[in-house]
Parts: sequence; structure tokens; C-alpha cells
Amino acid sequence: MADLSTDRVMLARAVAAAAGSTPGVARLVPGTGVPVVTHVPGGTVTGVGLGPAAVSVHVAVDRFPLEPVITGVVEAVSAVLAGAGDPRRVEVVVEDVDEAAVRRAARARDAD
Amino acid sequence: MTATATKTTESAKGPGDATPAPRPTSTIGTHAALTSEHGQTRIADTVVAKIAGMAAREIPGVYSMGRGFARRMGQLRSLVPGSSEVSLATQGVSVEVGEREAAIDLDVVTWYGQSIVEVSEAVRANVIQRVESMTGLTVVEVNINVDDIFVEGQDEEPKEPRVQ
Repeated sequence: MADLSTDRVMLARAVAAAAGSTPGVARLVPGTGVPVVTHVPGGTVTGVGLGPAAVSVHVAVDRFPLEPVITGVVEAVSAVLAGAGDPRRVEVVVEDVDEAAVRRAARARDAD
Repeated sequence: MTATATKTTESAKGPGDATPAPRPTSTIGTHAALTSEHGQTRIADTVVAKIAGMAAREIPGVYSMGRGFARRMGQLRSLVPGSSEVSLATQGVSVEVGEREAAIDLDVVTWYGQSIVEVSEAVRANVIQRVESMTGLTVVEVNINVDDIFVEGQDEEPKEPRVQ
């Protein structure tokens, strides 16, 4: 049985890895305002907040539409939580969209 | 061995306690027992305090430790050549250590602009993990006092003299 701190650190890292490797996620970001980070010994895990009721993941997305990307993140993170036996909800916050994606989307709309 | 453990627990808690089994939360079983048939291990308060202090400082959200006065004294003391690191490591930490359990109180200073909830959770988790794995004691509580918040740019001691 893993203990509290190891759990916390491992969970935050696993969630970050799962969300970060989801197609369409450019990177995890701390967001505006109070930075969303999880403190671990010797550093922080950016963009992952382990709340009491929900695990929040803050991402910058590099493509449109956003919907499938968000669904992908929710699924990936839920799988991690389920694997760890964690009952918390997943909360995805899209903090930013890459400019290139916005331009691509605009071009595609003009072409239509 | 189990019998010894149970007996100790009972004698410590008194006969009134209805639950004879050792605390179920525990990592106790996985760590070395401090009391065995062949002798007893005692761990000094300073040891636990030092481990807890170091563990708390490992969390990047902790700027400094100790109450205002002690913190200033610590700064002065660290300027005195030959002063040991000991006092610094245990600054802001007070502990109570029993035969198999420890309770820890911490005074911390965090940075402005971050979640105090997050920092204190991280500190608590890390302190429990480090103390339990290094000493085998069960940490029953970690109370965290956030004494002050450090605002960047509002340095307590100016680095350069004002006059040349």
C-alpha cells in the first residue's frame, strides 16, 4: 500500500503525463491567476490541481474543434484515476489555444 | 511479535479502550518495529524535528520557516561564523515524540501568489512520508501554521549597502 505523499506525487505526475500526451494538447499551463500547480518535493507539476472533489487539468490546445481534445483528456485522466482507485471527478480547463490553430481554422472557414 | 505490539498498545491506551488491534491505518507493519524483544530504539526529538524541517523545505512553496522573531534570530545566527546548520534545519519545527508515534507542528512562511491549501497539503504529505519512512514512527498529526507570506521584492534585508 503506497502512502500519502508518494500517492500524491505519483498521481500528479501520471495525470500530467496522460493529459500531456493526449492528441491536441500542446502543453499543460498554470493558467492565469493563482497558478495551478501541484507541489512535489523539489519542484512543481504544472497544470494539475488535486482538489478535494475534483482533479483539474489546465491545458493549451493546438487544434480545433476543442470538443474531441477535451473528451480525450477526460478519458485519459479518468483512466489514470480509475487505475489509482481515486473517486474524484476530472475537470478540464482550456486556458489557451495556439495561434497557429486559430489561423488554420480561419483559413478553413474562408475556403468554405 | 504481534503479541508484544498489542500488549504495548493496550498498556499505553489503558484497559478502557475497546479496540485492542493496532491502528489499522498503518504503514506500521511495513516499517521496522521500534520495540522488539531484543531491545528498544529511541529516536530523539531533534532527529524527528530535523527530518520534518528538511522535508518541509523540500516543497518549493515554502519560503522560510519559523515565527517572526525566531526567523530573524536564525538569520543573525547564520551570519555568525561557525554556527551549525542544526538550528536552521529545526527552525519552525516543534515535535512530540513517543515510543511509536510522533506529532509535528510547523511554522512556515509561503510565497505570495500561490495556493496556501496546496502548499500545506504538499508539506503535510511530504513530512509524513519522510518521517515515517526514515524513523518508522507513525505520524499522528502535522499541524501547519502559516505565519507570514513573502512578497517578492519586499526583501527583509537589503543585499547591497545603500551607501558606497
